[in-house]
Amino acid sequence: MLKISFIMFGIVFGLAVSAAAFTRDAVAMTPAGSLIENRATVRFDMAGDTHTSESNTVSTRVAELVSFDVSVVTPEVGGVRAGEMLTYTLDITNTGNGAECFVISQQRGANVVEPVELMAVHADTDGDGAFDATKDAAIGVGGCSPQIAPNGRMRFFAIGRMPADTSAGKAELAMRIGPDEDGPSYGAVFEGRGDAGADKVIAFNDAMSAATMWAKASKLVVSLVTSQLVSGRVQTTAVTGDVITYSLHFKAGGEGWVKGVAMSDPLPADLRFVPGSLNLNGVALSDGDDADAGQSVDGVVAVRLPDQAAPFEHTITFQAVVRPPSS
Amino acid sequence: MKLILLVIAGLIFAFPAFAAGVKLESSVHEEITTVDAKGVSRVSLVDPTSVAPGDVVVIRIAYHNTSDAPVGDIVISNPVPEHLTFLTVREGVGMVSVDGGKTYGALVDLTIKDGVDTRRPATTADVTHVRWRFDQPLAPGAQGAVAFAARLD
Repeated sequence: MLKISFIMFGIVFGLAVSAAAFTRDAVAMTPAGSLIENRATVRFDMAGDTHTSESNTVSTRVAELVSFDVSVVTPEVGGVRAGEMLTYTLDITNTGNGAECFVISQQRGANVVEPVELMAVHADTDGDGAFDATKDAAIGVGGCSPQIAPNGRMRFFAIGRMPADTSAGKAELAMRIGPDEDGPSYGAVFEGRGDAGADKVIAFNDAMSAATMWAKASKLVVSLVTSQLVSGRVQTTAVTGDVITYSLHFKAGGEGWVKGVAMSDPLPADLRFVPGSLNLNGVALSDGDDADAGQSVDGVVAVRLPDQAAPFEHTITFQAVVRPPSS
Repeated sequence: MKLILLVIAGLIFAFPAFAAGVKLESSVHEEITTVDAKGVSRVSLVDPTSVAPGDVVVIRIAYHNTSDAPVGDIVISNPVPEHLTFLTVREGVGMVSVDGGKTYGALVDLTIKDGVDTRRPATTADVTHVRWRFDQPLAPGAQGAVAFAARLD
């Protein structure tokens, strides 16, 4: 009875259809560096006369509040082949009160599933919403974007490469967005580093600055077709002495990795393996349990196929002779 | 010469011993709220370090009668600075104006023009000035403070 075991990787073919967004409403704020000036006036009577005087003028400079929203326009790209380049789109809205440039970089960690490699970042320089490498300026992974004014929004394109191994069926691009690649903590104050020499106050945390997108591998299709010839003829009956030639055709279509394919066929008692008949794609395999891909030991014919990326196909053939009936 | 000296002395004694009268000192403070381990909130005023949009500031006007005579009919006025939205009077009994300082009253009693022929109740966002009127004269050397809170836009 023929048994085939293998591990197939490559899941549902699909396209990104929804744009999951996590934006907050932008609020107009006092521009960073503005001066709040206060002066009071007093009127009073003394000795029959009315007098007025003013207080000092006290000035307070408004700090820059650094906050922003990230809206992922393409959270998922489907049907991606191994090594394929793909484009993700995201919008950054400056919800703070000072102009800032933003850095887009890749997050790496043990919990990141088969990472998409972030290769490039472009700003939507021509503002048409679509990526055009000839028009949209490259700002580099980890580079500072053009400055975004308060309440301004800018679109960016993150160019990634699908990993060579798509056996997991999907890959993840985890990114970090922020005004500084080193990520200051929420509430941190940087004296004098904001607009117009004002203090800069950090009003975003790690969760706000993270964006995750996915790529799904294209679908893998595997098939196995078996056939047999009896003494060179197509027939379903055999008699003692007939040589049956078995042919197994293994085919992997679509995209994805196929690993650990192992075929084993225990011959019935009334069949005897023909030594030296086992071959893979027309290349002879040894009968013994050794380093090559095939063996026929104790009545079991077995062949191991190499791990490889689809599409591919292999043909295994071997022969068996019909034994005389046992007495 | 004697005549000139007499005239100068007269001029000197004609003016009262006026040393500024009521002196005002304006200051801005940041209001912060802390919660202790028991969950009790405490509000305190601190010198403003990094005042950012959304923060609450308290504008405090300290007054001091620096003269040696009592002063009466004291009225302290303070326009709400640009970029601030009035919240509430913090110290003293203050009235507010929503018409640029022309008239004052309690906020609940004030209305503001809304359209051609309609008026609506005024809100804290409409307040343009705050004023404190003293009922009693201020004795020589007496001092105190009035204050109001506002939010930075």
